Amino acid sequence: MIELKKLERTDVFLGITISLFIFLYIFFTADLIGFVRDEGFYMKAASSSADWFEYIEKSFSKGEFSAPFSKKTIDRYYKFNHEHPTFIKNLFGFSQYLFHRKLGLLSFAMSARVVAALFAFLTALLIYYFGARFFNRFTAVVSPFMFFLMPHIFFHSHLACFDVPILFFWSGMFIFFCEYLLERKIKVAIFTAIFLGLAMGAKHNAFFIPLMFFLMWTVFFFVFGRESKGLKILKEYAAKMPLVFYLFVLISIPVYFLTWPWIWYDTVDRFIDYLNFHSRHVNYTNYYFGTELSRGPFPFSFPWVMSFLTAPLPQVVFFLAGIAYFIKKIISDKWIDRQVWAILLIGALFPLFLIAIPSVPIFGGIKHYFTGFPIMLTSGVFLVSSEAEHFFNKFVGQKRVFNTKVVISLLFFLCAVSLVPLNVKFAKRGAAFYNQLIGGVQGAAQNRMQRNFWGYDILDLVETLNKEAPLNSRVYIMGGYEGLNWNSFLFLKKEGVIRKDIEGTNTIRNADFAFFFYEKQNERIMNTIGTEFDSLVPLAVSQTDEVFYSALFRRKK
Amino acid sequence: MKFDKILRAIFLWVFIFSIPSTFIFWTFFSDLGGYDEQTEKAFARIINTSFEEGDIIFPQIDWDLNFLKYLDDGITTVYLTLKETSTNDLKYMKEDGGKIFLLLENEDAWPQISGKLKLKEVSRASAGKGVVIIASDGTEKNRRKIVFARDIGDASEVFFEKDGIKENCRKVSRSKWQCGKAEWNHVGKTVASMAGKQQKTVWAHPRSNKTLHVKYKVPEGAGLLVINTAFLPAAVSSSNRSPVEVKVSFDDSKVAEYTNMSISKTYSRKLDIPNDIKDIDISFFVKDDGQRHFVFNGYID
Repeated sequence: MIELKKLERTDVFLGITISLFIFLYIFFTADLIGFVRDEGFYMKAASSSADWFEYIEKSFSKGEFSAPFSKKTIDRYYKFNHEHPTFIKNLFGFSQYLFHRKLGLLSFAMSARVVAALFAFLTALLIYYFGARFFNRFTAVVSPFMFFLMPHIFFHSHLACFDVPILFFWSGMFIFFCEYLLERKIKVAIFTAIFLGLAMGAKHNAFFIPLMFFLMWTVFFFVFGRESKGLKILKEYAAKMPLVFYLFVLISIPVYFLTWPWIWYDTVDRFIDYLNFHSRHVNYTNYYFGTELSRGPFPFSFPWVMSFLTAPLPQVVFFLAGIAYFIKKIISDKWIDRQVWAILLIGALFPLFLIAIPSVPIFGGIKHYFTGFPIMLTSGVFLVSSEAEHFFNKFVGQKRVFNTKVVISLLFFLCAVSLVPLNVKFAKRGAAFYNQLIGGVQGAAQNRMQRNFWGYDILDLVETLNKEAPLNSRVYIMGGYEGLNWNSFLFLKKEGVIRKDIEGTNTIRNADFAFFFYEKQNERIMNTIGTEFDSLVPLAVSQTDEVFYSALFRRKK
Repeated sequence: MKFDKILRAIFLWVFIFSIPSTFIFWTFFSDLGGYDEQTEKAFARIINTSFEEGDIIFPQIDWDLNFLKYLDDGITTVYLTLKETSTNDLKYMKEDGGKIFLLLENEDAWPQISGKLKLKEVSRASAGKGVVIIASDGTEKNRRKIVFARDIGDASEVFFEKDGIKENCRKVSRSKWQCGKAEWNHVGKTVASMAGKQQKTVWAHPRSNKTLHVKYKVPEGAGLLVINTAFLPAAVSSSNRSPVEVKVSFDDSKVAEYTNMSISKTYSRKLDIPNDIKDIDISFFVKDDGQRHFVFNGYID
C-alpha cells in the first residue's frame, strides 16, 4: 500500500516560499507579454463582473439585498461572454473591483493578471504538495521550478485566461482523489468535492473527471478488488464505493451552480446552450509539418509530437520518465495502489489523448492539453532523481569522495541553469518555443510548424509606433486574421502601452501603420500591406533567433 | 526487473545528456541559421539595383526577413512561399515578363527550384554568403505594354466628373492617386480576390452621382484592351445594392458599356483598339457610394 508522506513544518515553509517566489516571478514579469486574443474578451467580461460587485455594494448599502441577484441584474452583467463559466472571470472582476477601482493598487490589466499569478502560486504549491506527499522532499522542491522553467508554461501563467487555472484544477483533482482513495479521510472527500465544483466552474474540461474516476474505480474493483462471489459482489461494490462519488453529486454540483450566476435563471436552457457551444467549437487552424490543420480529421500524433517538441529537453525526459514510472507501478503494485497510479497516468495523458482524437478540434497551442503536465513532470523528476541517487550511491558514493545528495542537487541546479538561456530568449514569446529536437525555432519555421498565435506579440513594436506615429495616426491591427483582438488593442491604450491618440482600424486602406502577425495562412496580408503602403521596409520586427513573428510597417508618404 | 533497471538508467543518462545539450544549443547554436547582415545587405543592394515593377522576390529562407530593412520603398512583391509555389501560381504573383529574384543560401538549391518552377537563369550574383539568381519563366514575350495595376501611376489623368466639372485626383506615389481627404477616396494599386484568386488590382471606389475617369495614352503598337471589374466581398454583403456602370471610350467615343451588379462575380471585356486611337478612358459611375468597394485590372497590349 502506498504510504503518503506526512507534511512537516519544513514542507509548509518550503512549499509556501517556493510558491511565493513563483508568484513574484510571474507577477513582476507580466509586462513582458502582450495581451492575447482571449484576454480581450475576458478582461472585458471582468469589467462587467466588477460592475456587478459595485452594484452589490451599492444595493447592500441601500438595504436592497435581493436586487443584485435578480434575473434582470444577472442578465445585464453576465450576458457578455456567457459561453464560458464565470468563476475565473469573477475572480478577475473582483480583483478589478478591489485592487483597481477601490484601492487603486493595480492597473486595469494587472488586476486581472494578478489572478493569473495567484494560480501560478497555487500550481507551484500543488506540485510541491504532490511531490512531498507521493514522493519525497527533493522532488517537491525541484518540480515547481522545472515546471515553470518551460517557456510555454511561463507564457500561459501570465495570462488572464482559464488555461492555467484549469491546469491547476485538473491536476489537483487527480492528486486529491488519489489521496482520498489511499487514506479515505472524510475531510479530503469534502475538499475534493468542493474542488471539483470549482474546477467545473473554471472550465468544462473538468466534466470528464468524475466520469473517469467512476469508470476507473468500477473497472478496478471488478477486475482486481472484489472479494465476494455471486450477487454479494454488488453489495460489496456498493459498500466500498468511495464516499467522494456521492459528494460529487451533493456538493460539487451546488458549488458549480453557485459559481456561475448566468445559470441561476433558465438553468436548463442556458446550460444546454453552453454545452452546444463547446460541442461545436470552431477549430483554430494550425500548421503542422507544412500541413494546414484547418478541418478534421486531425493527425493523432499532433498533441504527442507537439508536447515532445515544445517542452525543453530535460522536461521531455521527465515527462517520459513519469509515464514509465506510472506504467511500471501499475504493473507491480496492489489493486488500490494500481488504481492510484492508473488514475495519475490518466490524469497526465487523457488531455493529450482527447485532443489526439481526429474529430476533436485541435484549437490553439499546447494550452488545451497541458493540464496533466504537473503530474507526469513531478513523477519524472522523482524517477530521475532517485535513479541518480541509486547510481551515485552504488558507483560514486562508496568512495566517499562526494556526498550523494550534494551531487544530485548540483545536477538539478545545473539543469535549471541550462534552462536559463532559452527562458531568457523566449521570455516575451513563450508560445513560440520549440526545443532542439526540431532545431529550435529556426528548425520549426523551416519545417512549417505553427510559429506563434493569438496576436499578442507586439510589445517589441509599440515602442517604435509610439515614437514614430504622428498625432492621431491609425494603425491596422489585423483583427480579422488572428491578429490583435480589438478589445486587447483598446486595453493596450488604456494601460498606456499604446499611445492614447493612436486609433486602431481593421482596414488596411485606412491605416497609416500596420501590425503584421505572421501565421502561415495569413502571410498574404504582408503582401497586401506592402502593396497598400508601397513599402515593405519594416519599422520594427519582433523576432527570436532571426525568426520573425510580427512586424510594424508604415505607409509611404 | 532488468528491463526496468535499463530503462531507469536510460532516463538518467538522457537527462544528464540533456543538460549540456540544452545549454550549448540555446547559447551557441540556435541562431546559426538565417542570413547574416552582410548577406542581407548584399541581397537588398542587388534587388534595389535590378528590380522593376512586375518582378517578384522569393527568399529561400522565408522566416528571416531582415533583408527587408535594406530594400527601397516600392519593392513590395516579396513572397514567402517558394516551397509551395507552382508554375501556375507564378502568373498570379508576377506580371508577364517580370523577373524572379531568388535569394538563395547557396547555389545547390537552384537545380531543384528551376526544375520545379520551369525557370531559366538570367543572371546570378554572389551576395555575402548567399547568391541571388535572377530567373525568367519565359513570359518576356508576353509582357504587356500597360498593365493597369502595375502602371496605374502612368495613367494620363484620373479625375471625378459631374455635369462637366472636373475634380482632379492627385498622384501621390507611382501606384496611387488621391481623390479626396478620406483615405478610401483614391485610385491605386491593391491586392484583392478576383475570380477566387488574390490578384493585383486597382482600387477604384466611385462616389455618388459622379463619374470616375481613368485615362491612358495608347502606347505605340497597342491593339487590345482587356478589363476585369468586380466588387469586393464587403461590398457584395452590403445592404447597398447599387451597381457600378462601367464605360470604356476610345478618343471620347463609347465602345463598351456594362452594368457591374453588386454580386460576387468578375466582369470582363476584351476590346480591339483601332490603329489611330490616342486616348482610352475607363469610367465608373454609381448612384449610391455606400460600401462600393470596387476594383479593376487588365491591360492594354
